[in-house]
Parts: sequence; structure tokens; C-alpha cells
Amino acid sequence: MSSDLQNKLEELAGTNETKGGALVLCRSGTPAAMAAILRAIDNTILPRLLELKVGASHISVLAGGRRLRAIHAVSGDLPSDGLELGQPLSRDDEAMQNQVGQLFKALTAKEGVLTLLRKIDPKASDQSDGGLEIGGLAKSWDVDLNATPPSALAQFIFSLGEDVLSHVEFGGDGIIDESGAADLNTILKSDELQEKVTSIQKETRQGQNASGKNQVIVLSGHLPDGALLCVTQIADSSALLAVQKKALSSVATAWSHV
Amino acid sequence: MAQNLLDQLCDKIAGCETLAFFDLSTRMVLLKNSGTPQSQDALNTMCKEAEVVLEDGAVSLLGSDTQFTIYLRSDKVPTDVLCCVCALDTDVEDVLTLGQTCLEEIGGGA
Repeated sequence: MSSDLQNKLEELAGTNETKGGALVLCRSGTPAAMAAILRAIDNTILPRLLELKVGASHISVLAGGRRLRAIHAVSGDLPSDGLELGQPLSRDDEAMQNQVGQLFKALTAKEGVLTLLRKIDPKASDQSDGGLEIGGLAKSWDVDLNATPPSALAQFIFSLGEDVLSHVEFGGDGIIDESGAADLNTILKSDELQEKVTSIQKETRQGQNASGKNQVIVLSGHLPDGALLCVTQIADSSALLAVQKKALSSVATAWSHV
Repeated sequence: MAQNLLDQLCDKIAGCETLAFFDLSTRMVLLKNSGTPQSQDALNTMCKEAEVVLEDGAVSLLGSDTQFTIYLRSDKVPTDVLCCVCALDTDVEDVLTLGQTCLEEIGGGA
């Protein structure tokens, strides 16, 4: 059995879903965030409790059979007045659908990272009837289900949050994105640093075997104030990042989710 | 005995596959944990790699799709380096903290 098929079956069966912590879906505040939530529900075959979170704001929903069954809990600064928590959602109740849509839109409008935690929960199994089908919701809420999520590299960078002091992302035509402190960006874009990085990459085992492989290299001692230099290659994109000097563990955690 | 220190540390760090102690002044692999699957040639290559990635710094991490290699320079003896090959879900903070202690113990003649 191929590993892809095995992974898909495990995903559908729900094994290991609560072991690895929350999954980073995407950056909130983008059109892709609503689409990511609906796709997550659409990918939920067996009854599950889905916990969606951005910062301190959180929505738990009951899902299954590729449908949104019920809103289970809401916390944080979100519009929950009038919501009937735990009650089955029906496509005949248009007002409630709109209210749920406003709830999700409020969550995805928050600044931060949208994460998903799937849980096996008896309450999800209790909700086996009814529910809202994703295609209908996408139409009703004006969500493009094909909205492209950020690239894996963009997600890696974003999941590091405020640990990233500065970054420069390279694509086929040169620099395609950058953020952060201008002085650090100038250093990251300098020929001197890039030549140094290329030289180091050539002398590492990963650099020598890098063709088409994802890699990250974190180096200390190359940037001011103890900042770490992070060199990353994912698929066809690469980036140089300046990260906080204490952020080595954060980089490792973010990399483990790529 | 230093060998035991590496074996014990490897047992403490979840997901740890290899621990090795390098002396960059002589570019030699002086110790390795007894359970490592890495060949001596591979460890020699890692020792050279440590010299490159730690040229200006105290710590370096190299990640692939399957594992991390972490190089940690001793605070007390800068030519002493600990190399840790571990799983992607290994607690890197453990490697840094426990690894530095281990380096000090080895450097102190344990």
C-alpha cells in the first residue's frame, strides 16, 4: 500500500489526529482561510469535533459525513449571541446559516494563524443527522473553495510568527516576497551573505544532495544581535530568514510540520 | 566514563539516533553513542560539516524531510562539539540544554 494511500486512510479513520497537536491551516485574514475551514469540514468523513483557533478566539464544530453538523462551542471575541450551541444545523434555517457564516468570517478576520485540531468525541457521534453541505455553504457565504492556500514555504515562515525578524523569499525571477526589519533585509539580500550561504550549502551533506529535496539550515554567528540565520528550501522556493536568537526550537517545530 | 555520558544522554532525548563528540582542533570524532547506525566515515563527514556550519557560531541545525542534525559548540571549550542526529519531533530545547551539560562533563574529564 502506498504511503499516500495509507496516510489518507489513517486520516479518514481518525487515527493519530490528536497526537501531533493542532494543524496550521493557513494565515487568517486571507480569502484562503474560509476555504480552508470548509475544506477541512469537507474532508471529515467520520464524526469529529473540529477545533478552529486563531489566537485567543476559538470555534469548536461537530462535523461528519462531509457536513457541518453543529456549532459546539465559541470563545474569544466572536459574535455568538443567538447561536444554539450543540443544536443540529439545518439547511432550512437560512438565518442560522448566515449567523454561522458571520461567526466563521469573524474568526478568519482575526490576525494570526488559523489552526485545526481534530478530536474524536462522543458528542460528534451523537450528531449523525442533518447538517450543512459544504458546496451550499460556499455558495451562500460567497467562498471560493479553490482559493489557493499559501505555499508550504510561506506557511513555514508564517508559522514562525514573531520569531521572524526579517525574511527574503526567492523564486524563479528573483525576490518574490520580503518582510521585517529593513536593516536585516539589506543584510539578507547582500551578495556577501548569499555567497557565504551558497558556499556553506555546497559543503554540507544536504546541499550536496539537495536536488529537489526540502532542507533547512540554521546558523548562528552571521547576523547582528545574535539573530539566527535560517536558510530554507521547500520545493522550488527558497528563503533567507533572520529569526530570534532563542527561536531554534520554534524553527524545528515549524519545520516538522512542513 | 564519557562513552556512558553519550549513551545516557541519547536515552534521555526522545527520538535521538546518534550522539557524537568532535574535537575540531584535531578534526577528529572522539566519541559516539554505542547504538548509532552511522558509520565512522559518515561521522567523519559530519565532523567536517560541523567545522563549516559552526565557523562563526555556537549552534547549528540542519533539517531534512526526515531528521535533524544539530551541532552544538561547548561554551567552555570552543573546539569541543556535540553532534546530535534526531527525529523531527525531538525536543530541540532538550538537545541544547542537556547537550551543553554533557559537553561540560566530557570536557571536565568525566
